[in-house]
Amino acid sequence: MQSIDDLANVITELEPSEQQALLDKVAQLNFKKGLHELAEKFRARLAREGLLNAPSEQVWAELHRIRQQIAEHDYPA
Amino acid sequence: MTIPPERWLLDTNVWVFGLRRDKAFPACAQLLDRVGSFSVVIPLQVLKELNLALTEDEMRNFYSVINQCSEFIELSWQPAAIELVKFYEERGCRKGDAVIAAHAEALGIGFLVSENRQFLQTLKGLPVEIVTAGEAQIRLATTLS
Repeated sequence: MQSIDDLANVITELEPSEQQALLDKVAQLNFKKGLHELAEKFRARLAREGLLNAPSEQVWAELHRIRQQIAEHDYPA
Repeated sequence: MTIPPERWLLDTNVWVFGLRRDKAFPACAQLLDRVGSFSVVIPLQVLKELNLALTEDEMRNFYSVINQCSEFIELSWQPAAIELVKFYEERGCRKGDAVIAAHAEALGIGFLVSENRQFLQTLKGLPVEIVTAGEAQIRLATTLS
């Protein structure tokens, strides 16, 4: 494992466009990592509640209910 | 940051099925993994729905992840205009779906990703193009190649 200083030296040797591409990639991977951690937490909670393996139809029904509830509240007929 | 040119709206079901890693909708998780190679806008209706689908702690995590990626994820807190909601309702969308379509049009998003079959059918021929997560991946592959 390289030290931070070593890595920084390697990066400064890159062309500006390569540095930008590297920063973009790091941002994308950070997002992916954060989302994976959130997914694990979400799945663990659903498993505790016995909902992780709920049929898709049940998930759809809940999503539709939530959608209509918010829309009816925000845009009453 | 090089801002990705494509700016997409991911419907709530894409976020939820993706985070669940739902086996019936594997393309949702795969698409979420590609965020950054396209930009995402999350409108108010989706934020409100996620707020009910996730716990307070999960939602805090969600915002924490999103806020680190403001270069390619944009949160929009603007309510959808009622006239646009009515426009889409009159064209067959259920009210909640009409709100999402109205957000997409108001935010200048031409590309909406959803697994909602009814939504997919009713929006044909309208300004907002709607595709499934699987179709979005194909488009992404074409765009990036």
